Amino acid sequence: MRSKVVTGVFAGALFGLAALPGLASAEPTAAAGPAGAHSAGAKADVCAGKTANSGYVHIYSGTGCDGKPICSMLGNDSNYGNTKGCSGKDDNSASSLLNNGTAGGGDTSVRFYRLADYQGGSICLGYHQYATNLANWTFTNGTNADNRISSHKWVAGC
Amino acid sequence: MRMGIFRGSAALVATVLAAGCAASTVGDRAAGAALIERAEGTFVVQCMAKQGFRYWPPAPATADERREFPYVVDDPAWARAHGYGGDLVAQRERRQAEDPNRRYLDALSEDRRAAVAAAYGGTGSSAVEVVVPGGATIGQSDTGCLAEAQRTLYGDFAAWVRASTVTGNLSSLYQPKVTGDPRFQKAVTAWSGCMHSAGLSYASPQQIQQKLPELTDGQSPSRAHRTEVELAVAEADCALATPLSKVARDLDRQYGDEIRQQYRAEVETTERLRRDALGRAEELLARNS
Repeated sequence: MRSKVVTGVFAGALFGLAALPGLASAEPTAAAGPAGAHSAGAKADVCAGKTANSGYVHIYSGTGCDGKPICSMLGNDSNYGNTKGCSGKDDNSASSLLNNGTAGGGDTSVRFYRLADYQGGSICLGYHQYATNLANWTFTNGTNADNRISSHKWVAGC
Repeated sequence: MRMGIFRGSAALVATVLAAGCAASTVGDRAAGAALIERAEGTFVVQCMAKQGFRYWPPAPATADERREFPYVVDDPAWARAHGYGGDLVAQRERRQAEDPNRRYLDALSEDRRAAVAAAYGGTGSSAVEVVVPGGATIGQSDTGCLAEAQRTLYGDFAAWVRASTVTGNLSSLYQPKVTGDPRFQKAVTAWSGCMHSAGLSYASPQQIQQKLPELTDGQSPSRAHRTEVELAVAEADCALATPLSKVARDLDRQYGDEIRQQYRAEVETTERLRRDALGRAEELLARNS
Protein backbone atom coordinates (compact mmCIF):
# COMPACT_ATOMS: atom_id res chain seq x y z
CA MET A 1 0.00 0.00 0.00
CA ARG A 2 1.51 3.31 -1.10
CA SER A 3 0.77 6.32 1.03
CA LYS A 4 2.35 9.65 1.63
CA VAL A 5 1.96 13.09 3.03
CA VAL A 6 1.75 15.69 0.32
CA THR A 7 2.90 19.22 0.83
CA GLY A 8 2.10 21.88 -1.69
CA VAL A 9 2.42 25.57 -2.23
CA PHE A 10 -1.20 26.37 -2.99
CA ALA A 11 -3.11 28.50 -0.56
CA GLY A 12 -6.77 27.67 -0.16
CA ALA A 13 -7.80 31.28 -0.57
CA LEU A 14 -6.54 31.24 -4.13
CA PHE A 15 -8.95 28.49 -4.94
CA GLY A 16 -11.70 29.51 -2.61
CA LEU A 17 -13.74 31.20 -5.28
CA ALA A 18 -13.06 28.79 -8.09
CA ALA A 19 -16.13 26.73 -7.41
CA LEU A 20 -18.77 28.81 -5.73
CA PRO A 21 -21.49 26.56 -4.38
CA GLY A 22 -24.72 25.99 -6.20
CA LEU A 23 -23.49 26.67 -9.67
CA ALA A 24 -23.73 23.83 -12.11
CA SER A 25 -21.27 25.45 -14.44
CA ALA A 26 -21.98 25.33 -18.15
CA GLU A 27 -18.33 25.75 -18.97
CA PRO A 28 -16.54 22.55 -19.90
CA THR A 29 -13.54 21.89 -17.75
CA ALA A 30 -10.16 22.03 -19.37
CA ALA A 31 -8.57 18.63 -19.62
CA ALA A 32 -5.86 17.95 -17.11
CA GLY A 33 -3.31 17.77 -19.87
CA PRO A 34 -1.42 14.83 -21.25
CA ALA A 35 -0.52 12.04 -18.91
CA GLY A 36 2.63 12.86 -17.06
CA ALA A 37 2.22 16.60 -17.54
CA HIS A 38 1.78 16.92 -13.79
CA SER A 39 3.25 14.80 -11.09
CA ALA A 40 0.68 12.92 -9.02
CA GLY A 41 1.55 15.13 -6.06
CA ALA A 42 0.90 18.38 -7.90
CA LYS A 43 -2.55 17.26 -9.04
CA ALA A 44 -3.42 16.16 -5.55
CA ASP A 45 -2.46 19.56 -4.20
CA VAL A 46 -5.03 21.20 -6.46
CA CYS A 47 -7.78 18.98 -4.97
CA ALA A 48 -6.58 19.68 -1.45
CA GLY A 49 -6.34 23.40 -2.17
CA LYS A 50 -9.99 23.47 -3.17
CA THR A 51 -11.24 22.39 0.22
CA ALA A 52 -12.26 25.98 0.83
CA ASN A 53 -15.69 25.58 -0.81
CA SER A 54 -18.10 24.67 1.92
CA GLY A 55 -21.12 22.45 1.99
CA TYR A 56 -21.02 20.86 -1.43
CA VAL A 57 -19.76 17.83 -3.26
CA HIS A 58 -17.88 18.93 -6.37
CA ILE A 59 -17.64 16.84 -9.54
CA TYR A 60 -14.89 17.51 -12.09
CA SER A 61 -14.50 16.23 -15.63
CA GLY A 62 -10.71 16.59 -15.45
CA THR A 63 -8.38 14.71 -13.16
CA GLY A 64 -6.90 16.39 -10.08
CA CYS A 65 -9.97 18.63 -9.55
CA ASP A 66 -8.72 20.67 -12.47
CA GLY A 67 -10.65 23.81 -13.44
CA LYS A 68 -14.23 24.46 -12.44
CA PRO A 69 -16.44 21.60 -11.28
CA ILE A 70 -18.95 20.46 -13.91
CA CYS A 71 -21.45 20.52 -11.07
CA SER A 72 -21.58 21.13 -7.32
CA MET A 73 -24.39 19.71 -5.21
CA LEU A 74 -25.69 20.18 -1.67
CA GLY A 75 -28.02 17.19 -1.88
CA ASN A 76 -28.56 13.96 -3.79
CA ASP A 77 -28.81 13.64 -7.56
CA SER A 78 -30.58 10.52 -8.78
CA ASN A 79 -29.78 11.08 -12.45
CA TYR A 80 -26.99 13.14 -13.97
CA GLY A 81 -28.68 12.63 -17.33
CA ASN A 82 -31.71 14.79 -16.53
CA THR A 83 -31.94 18.55 -16.16
CA LYS A 84 -31.81 18.80 -12.35
CA GLY A 85 -28.46 19.30 -10.58
CA CYS A 86 -25.69 17.58 -12.52
CA SER A 87 -27.32 17.53 -15.91
CA GLY A 88 -27.08 16.04 -19.35
CA LYS A 89 -23.48 16.29 -20.46
CA ASP A 90 -22.35 15.77 -16.86
CA ASP A 91 -23.51 12.16 -17.09
CA ASN A 92 -20.63 9.70 -17.40
CA SER A 93 -18.01 12.45 -17.38
CA ALA A 94 -16.63 12.67 -13.84
CA SER A 95 -12.88 12.05 -13.46
CA SER A 96 -12.17 13.55 -10.04
CA LEU A 97 -14.25 14.32 -6.96
CA LEU A 98 -14.16 16.51 -3.88
CA ASN A 99 -16.45 16.06 -0.88
CA ASN A 100 -16.59 19.40 0.85
CA GLY A 101 -19.83 18.86 2.74
CA THR A 102 -20.78 20.25 6.12
CA ALA A 103 -22.83 17.21 7.21
CA GLY A 104 -25.76 19.55 7.73
CA GLY A 105 -28.16 16.68 7.15
CA GLY A 106 -26.13 14.33 9.35
CA ASP A 107 -24.51 12.53 6.45
CA THR A 108 -20.79 12.93 5.97
CA SER A 109 -19.95 10.83 2.92
CA VAL A 110 -21.03 10.59 -0.70
CA ARG A 111 -21.72 7.38 -2.60
CA PHE A 112 -21.44 7.67 -6.39
CA TYR A 113 -23.19 5.15 -8.64
CA ARG A 114 -22.51 3.65 -12.03
CA LEU A 115 -26.14 4.10 -13.10
CA ALA A 116 -28.99 6.53 -12.48
CA ASP A 117 -31.28 5.98 -9.47
CA TYR A 118 -28.36 4.79 -7.32
CA GLN A 119 -28.01 1.58 -9.33
CA GLY A 120 -25.13 -0.51 -10.54
CA GLY A 121 -21.96 -0.53 -8.48
CA SER A 122 -20.80 2.37 -6.35
CA ILE A 123 -17.74 4.10 -4.91
CA CYS A 124 -17.78 6.02 -1.64
CA LEU A 125 -15.93 9.24 -0.80
CA GLY A 126 -15.47 10.06 2.88
CA TYR A 127 -15.98 13.36 4.67
CA HIS A 128 -13.77 16.14 3.31
CA GLN A 129 -11.89 13.72 1.10
CA TYR A 130 -11.00 13.99 -2.57
CA ALA A 131 -10.28 11.49 -5.32
CA THR A 132 -7.73 12.71 -7.83
CA ASN A 133 -8.30 10.30 -10.69
CA LEU A 134 -11.22 7.93 -11.17
CA ALA A 135 -9.32 6.00 -13.85
CA ASN A 136 -7.92 3.93 -11.00
CA TRP A 137 -11.11 3.40 -9.04
CA THR A 138 -13.48 0.47 -9.32
CA PHE A 139 -17.20 0.41 -8.54
CA THR A 140 -18.50 -2.28 -6.18
CA ASN A 141 -19.78 -4.18 -9.23
CA GLY A 142 -16.22 -4.45 -10.53
CA THR A 143 -16.33 -1.88 -13.37
CA ASN A 144 -14.05 1.14 -13.67
CA ALA A 145 -15.49 4.41 -12.38
CA ASP A 146 -13.89 6.93 -14.75
CA ASN A 147 -16.45 8.76 -16.90
CA ARG A 148 -19.14 6.39 -15.66
CA ILE A 149 -20.80 8.11 -12.67
CA SER A 150 -24.52 8.73 -13.20
CA SER A 151 -25.93 9.47 -9.73
CA HIS A 152 -24.86 10.16 -6.17
CA LYS A 153 -26.32 10.30 -2.70
CA TRP A 154 -25.09 11.37 0.73
CA VAL A 155 -24.59 8.54 3.21
CA ALA A 156 -23.65 8.34 6.88
CA GLY A 157 -20.22 6.84 6.21
CA CYS A 158 -18.15 4.74 3.84
CA MET B 1 -31.21 -1.71 22.41
CA ARG B 2 -32.58 1.53 21.04
CA MET B 3 -30.06 3.70 19.26
CA GLY B 4 -32.11 6.37 17.54
CA ILE B 5 -31.50 9.34 19.80
CA PHE B 6 -28.10 9.53 21.22
CA ARG B 7 -26.66 11.82 23.85
CA GLY B 8 -23.46 10.01 24.73
CA SER B 9 -24.47 8.28 27.95
CA ALA B 10 -21.66 6.52 29.76
CA ALA B 11 -23.64 3.27 29.99
CA LEU B 12 -24.08 3.19 26.26
CA VAL B 13 -20.41 3.94 25.72
CA ALA B 14 -19.51 1.02 27.97
CA THR B 15 -21.76 -1.21 25.89
CA VAL B 16 -20.15 0.02 22.71
CA LEU B 17 -16.66 -0.59 24.05
CA ALA B 18 -17.60 -4.07 25.25
CA ALA B 19 -19.11 -4.75 21.87
CA GLY B 20 -15.80 -3.82 20.27
CA CYS B 21 -14.25 -6.80 22.02
CA ALA B 22 -17.10 -9.22 21.40
CA ALA B 23 -19.03 -9.53 18.16
CA SER B 24 -20.09 -5.95 17.48
CA THR B 25 -23.54 -5.50 16.05
CA VAL B 26 -24.65 -3.02 13.45
CA GLY B 27 -26.42 -0.97 16.13
CA ASP B 28 -23.38 -0.81 18.41
CA ARG B 29 -21.19 0.25 15.55
CA ALA B 30 -23.66 2.98 14.58
CA ALA B 31 -23.81 4.23 18.17
CA GLY B 32 -20.02 4.33 18.35
CA ALA B 33 -19.75 6.25 15.08
CA ALA B 34 -22.37 8.75 16.27
CA LEU B 35 -20.54 9.26 19.56
CA ILE B 36 -17.23 9.92 17.81
CA GLU B 37 -18.91 12.37 15.41
CA ARG B 38 -20.49 14.16 18.34
CA ALA B 39 -17.13 14.54 20.06
CA GLU B 40 -15.55 15.63 16.78
CA GLY B 41 -18.20 18.36 16.52
CA THR B 42 -17.44 19.55 20.04
CA PHE B 43 -13.72 19.84 19.28
CA VAL B 44 -14.43 21.67 16.04
CA VAL B 45 -16.63 24.22 17.88
CA GLN B 46 -13.76 24.95 20.30
CA CYS B 47 -11.19 25.19 17.51
CA MET B 48 -13.36 27.51 15.37
CA ALA B 49 -14.19 29.70 18.39
CA LYS B 50 -10.47 30.24 19.04
CA GLN B 51 -10.28 31.80 15.59
CA GLY B 52 -13.36 33.90 16.12
CA PHE B 53 -15.74 31.78 14.04
CA ARG B 54 -18.99 30.10 14.92
CA TYR B 55 -19.86 26.48 14.19
CA TRP B 56 -22.91 24.36 14.89
CA PRO B 57 -22.06 20.66 14.93
CA PRO B 58 -24.54 18.57 12.96
CA ALA B 59 -26.61 15.89 14.70
CA PRO B 60 -24.97 12.60 13.70
CA ALA B 61 -26.96 10.23 11.52
CA THR B 62 -29.15 7.82 13.49
CA ALA B 63 -28.69 4.05 13.59
CA ASP B 64 -31.62 3.62 11.18
CA GLU B 65 -30.03 6.10 8.78
CA ARG B 66 -26.75 4.20 8.92
CA ARG B 67 -28.27 0.90 7.83
CA GLU B 68 -27.22 -0.31 4.39
CA PHE B 69 -28.54 -3.31 2.51
CA PRO B 70 -26.08 -4.03 -0.28
CA TYR B 71 -27.84 -7.18 -1.50
CA VAL B 72 -31.41 -7.28 -0.22
CA VAL B 73 -33.50 -5.53 2.44
CA ASP B 74 -33.81 -8.28 5.05
CA ASP B 75 -35.01 -6.41 8.13
CA PRO B 76 -38.83 -6.32 8.07
CA ALA B 77 -38.99 -3.86 11.01
CA TRP B 78 -36.73 -1.38 9.22
CA ALA B 79 -38.71 -1.93 6.01
CA ARG B 80 -42.03 -1.29 7.80
CA ALA B 81 -40.66 1.96 9.23
CA HIS B 82 -38.75 3.26 6.21
CA GLY B 83 -39.63 1.32 3.06
CA TYR B 84 -36.43 1.77 1.07
CA GLY B 85 -35.41 4.80 3.10
CA GLY B 86 -37.10 7.53 1.09
CA ASP B 87 -38.43 9.05 4.32
CA LEU B 88 -34.90 9.16 5.72
CA VAL B 89 -33.65 11.01 2.65
CA ALA B 90 -36.47 13.56 3.07
CA GLN B 91 -35.65 13.94 6.76
CA ARG B 92 -31.99 14.52 5.93
CA GLU B 93 -32.91 17.16 3.35
CA ARG B 94 -35.08 18.98 5.90
CA ARG B 95 -32.22 18.99 8.41
CA GLN B 96 -29.82 20.20 5.75
CA ALA B 97 -32.18 23.03 4.79
CA GLU B 98 -32.31 24.09 8.45
CA ASP B 99 -28.54 23.81 8.96
CA PRO B 100 -27.50 26.98 10.86
CA ASN B 101 -24.01 26.78 9.33
CA ARG B 102 -25.56 27.33 5.93
CA ARG B 103 -27.33 30.52 7.06
CA TYR B 104 -24.19 31.69 8.84
CA LEU B 105 -22.05 31.20 5.73
CA ASP B 106 -24.64 32.76 3.41
CA ALA B 107 -24.70 35.92 5.54
CA LEU B 108 -20.91 36.44 5.32
CA SER B 109 -18.88 38.27 2.70
CA GLU B 110 -17.00 36.09 0.22
CA ASP B 111 -13.66 36.77 1.92
CA ARG B 112 -15.03 35.96 5.32
CA ARG B 113 -16.76 32.84 4.00
CA ALA B 114 -13.49 31.60 2.51
CA ALA B 115 -11.76 32.28 5.84
CA VAL B 116 -14.37 30.20 7.71
CA ALA B 117 -14.00 27.38 5.20
CA ALA B 118 -10.22 27.45 5.47
CA ALA B 119 -10.39 27.48 9.28
CA TYR B 120 -12.63 24.40 9.12
CA GLY B 121 -11.20 22.37 6.25
CA GLY B 122 -7.66 23.74 6.04
CA THR B 123 -5.92 25.79 3.39
CA GLY B 124 -4.94 22.79 1.29
CA SER B 125 -1.28 23.46 1.94
CA SER B 126 -0.81 19.82 2.87
CA ALA B 127 -2.78 16.61 2.87
CA VAL B 128 -2.61 12.96 3.75
CA GLU B 129 -3.07 10.76 0.70
CA VAL B 130 -3.52 7.05 0.32
CA VAL B 131 -3.75 4.75 -2.65
CA VAL B 132 -6.78 2.53 -2.16
CA PRO B 133 -7.20 -0.95 -3.66
CA GLY B 134 -7.51 -0.54 -7.41
CA GLY B 135 -5.02 2.32 -7.42
CA ALA B 136 -7.11 5.46 -6.86
CA THR B 137 -5.55 8.20 -4.76
CA ILE B 138 -7.81 9.52 -2.00
CA GLY B 139 -6.68 12.47 0.07
CA GLN B 140 -7.75 14.67 2.94
CA SER B 141 -6.36 18.00 4.13
CA ASP B 142 -4.37 17.63 7.32
CA THR B 143 -4.80 21.24 8.42
CA GLY B 144 -7.86 23.06 9.77
CA CYS B 145 -10.22 22.42 12.65
CA LEU B 146 -11.69 19.21 11.24
CA ALA B 147 -8.26 17.59 10.91
CA GLU B 148 -7.30 19.00 14.32
CA ALA B 149 -10.40 17.44 15.91
CA GLN B 150 -9.74 14.11 14.24
CA ARG B 151 -6.11 14.23 15.32
CA THR B 152 -7.22 14.81 18.91
CA LEU B 153 -9.68 11.92 18.75
CA TYR B 154 -7.75 9.32 16.77
CA GLY B 155 -4.25 10.20 18.02
CA ASP B 156 -2.53 9.53 14.70
CA PHE B 157 -4.38 11.47 12.00
CA ALA B 158 -2.35 10.22 9.04
CA ALA B 159 -2.62 6.59 10.14
CA TRP B 160 -6.36 7.01 10.65
CA VAL B 161 -6.99 8.57 7.22
CA ARG B 162 -4.90 5.95 5.46
CA ALA B 163 -6.23 2.88 7.25
CA SER B 164 -9.90 3.89 7.43
CA THR B 165 -9.98 4.99 3.78
CA VAL B 166 -8.59 1.65 2.66
CA THR B 167 -10.98 -0.36 4.83
CA GLY B 168 -13.89 1.81 3.67
CA ASN B 169 -13.07 0.82 0.11
CA LEU B 170 -12.78 -2.93 0.48
CA SER B 171 -16.35 -3.84 -0.44
CA SER B 172 -15.67 -3.34 -4.16
CA LEU B 173 -13.21 -6.22 -3.88
CA TYR B 174 -15.71 -8.77 -2.56
CA GLN B 175 -19.28 -7.68 -3.33
CA PRO B 176 -18.95 -8.70 -7.02
CA LYS B 177 -17.79 -12.14 -5.80
CA VAL B 178 -20.91 -12.44 -3.64
CA THR B 179 -23.36 -11.49 -6.38
CA GLY B 180 -21.48 -13.61 -8.92
CA ASP B 181 -21.58 -16.73 -6.75
CA PRO B 182 -23.99 -19.42 -8.05
CA ARG B 183 -25.31 -19.92 -4.49
CA PHE B 184 -26.34 -16.26 -4.38
CA GLN B 185 -27.98 -16.45 -7.78
CA LYS B 186 -29.87 -19.59 -6.81
CA ALA B 187 -31.11 -17.85 -3.66
CA VAL B 188 -32.27 -14.85 -5.71
CA THR B 189 -34.29 -17.22 -7.91
CA ALA B 190 -35.95 -18.68 -4.79
CA TRP B 191 -36.63 -15.15 -3.50
CA SER B 192 -38.19 -14.21 -6.84
CA GLY B 193 -40.51 -17.25 -6.57
CA CYS B 194 -41.59 -16.12 -3.10
CA MET B 195 -42.31 -12.60 -4.38
CA HIS B 196 -44.28 -14.04 -7.28
CA SER B 197 -46.45 -15.98 -4.83
CA ALA B 198 -47.17 -12.67 -3.10
CA GLY B 199 -48.34 -11.24 -6.42
CA LEU B 200 -45.15 -9.27 -7.07
CA SER B 201 -43.20 -10.22 -10.17
CA TYR B 202 -39.60 -9.21 -9.72
CA ALA B 203 -36.55 -11.17 -10.82
CA SER B 204 -34.28 -9.60 -8.17
CA PRO B 205 -34.16 -6.97 -5.41
CA GLN B 206 -32.12 -4.91 -7.84
CA GLN B 207 -34.99 -4.91 -10.31
CA ILE B 208 -37.24 -3.36 -7.66
CA GLN B 209 -34.72 -0.57 -7.21
CA GLN B 210 -34.66 0.01 -10.95
CA LYS B 211 -38.45 0.25 -11.13
CA LEU B 212 -38.99 2.20 -7.92
CA PRO B 213 -38.63 5.73 -9.38
CA GLU B 214 -41.25 4.87 -12.00
CA LEU B 215 -43.57 3.26 -9.42
CA THR B 216 -43.49 6.29 -7.12
CA ASP B 217 -43.41 8.91 -9.87
CA GLY B 218 -46.08 11.55 -9.30
CA GLN B 219 -47.11 10.11 -5.92
CA SER B 220 -47.46 12.31 -2.85
CA PRO B 221 -44.71 11.74 -0.24
CA SER B 222 -47.08 9.73 1.97
CA ARG B 223 -48.34 7.62 -0.96
CA ALA B 224 -44.77 7.04 -2.18
CA HIS B 225 -43.82 5.97 1.34
CA ARG B 226 -46.68 3.43 1.38
CA THR B 227 -45.56 2.08 -2.00
CA GLU B 228 -42.01 1.70 -0.70
CA VAL B 229 -43.13 0.05 2.54
CA GLU B 230 -45.37 -2.45 0.79
CA LEU B 231 -42.57 -3.58 -1.54
CA ALA B 232 -39.75 -3.43 0.99
CA VAL B 233 -41.68 -5.48 3.58
CA ALA B 234 -42.44 -8.13 0.94
CA GLU B 235 -38.79 -8.08 -0.12
CA ALA B 236 -37.63 -8.54 3.49
CA ASP B 237 -40.21 -11.21 4.31
CA CYS B 238 -39.20 -13.19 1.23
CA ALA B 239 -35.49 -12.70 1.99
CA LEU B 240 -36.14 -14.39 5.35
CA ALA B 241 -38.62 -17.00 4.06
CA THR B 242 -36.11 -18.16 1.43
CA PRO B 243 -32.35 -18.75 1.86
CA LEU B 244 -31.49 -15.33 0.34
CA SER B 245 -30.86 -13.36 3.54
CA LYS B 246 -28.67 -16.05 5.07
CA VAL B 247 -26.83 -16.89 1.85
CA ALA B 248 -26.07 -13.20 1.19
CA ARG B 249 -24.83 -12.65 4.73
CA ASP B 250 -22.77 -15.85 4.76
CA LEU B 251 -21.14 -15.15 1.41
CA ASP B 252 -20.55 -11.50 2.38
CA ARG B 253 -18.75 -12.67 5.50
CA GLN B 254 -16.82 -15.38 3.67
CA TYR B 255 -15.57 -13.24 0.76
CA GLY B 256 -15.27 -10.19 3.02
CA ASP B 257 -13.09 -12.07 5.51
CA GLU B 258 -10.77 -13.16 2.69
CA ILE B 259 -10.27 -9.55 1.64
CA ARG B 260 -10.03 -8.26 5.22
CA GLN B 261 -7.33 -10.86 5.83
CA GLN B 262 -5.49 -9.55 2.80
CA TYR B 263 -5.71 -5.99 4.18
CA ARG B 264 -5.32 -7.06 7.77
CA ALA B 265 -2.91 -4.29 8.80
CA GLU B 266 -5.33 -1.56 7.66
CA VAL B 267 -8.35 -3.31 9.18
CA GLU B 268 -6.61 -3.73 12.53
CA THR B 269 -5.31 -0.16 12.56
CA THR B 270 -8.78 1.15 11.75
CA GLU B 271 -10.34 -0.87 14.58
CA ARG B 272 -7.65 0.11 17.08
CA LEU B 273 -7.82 3.83 16.28
CA ARG B 274 -11.62 3.73 16.32
CA ARG B 275 -11.56 2.20 19.80
CA ASP B 276 -9.07 4.85 20.93
CA ALA B 277 -11.31 7.58 19.52
CA LEU B 278 -14.34 6.09 21.25
CA GLY B 279 -12.51 6.18 24.57
CA ARG B 280 -11.48 9.82 24.08
CA ALA B 281 -14.98 10.74 22.93
CA GLU B 282 -16.41 9.15 26.06
CA GLU B 283 -14.05 11.14 28.29
CA LEU B 284 -14.83 14.41 26.54
CA LEU B 285 -18.60 13.96 26.59
CA ALA B 286 -18.56 12.79 30.22
CA ARG B 287 -16.63 15.94 31.16
CA ASN B 288 -19.11 18.11 29.30
CA SER B 289 -22.27 16.44 30.56
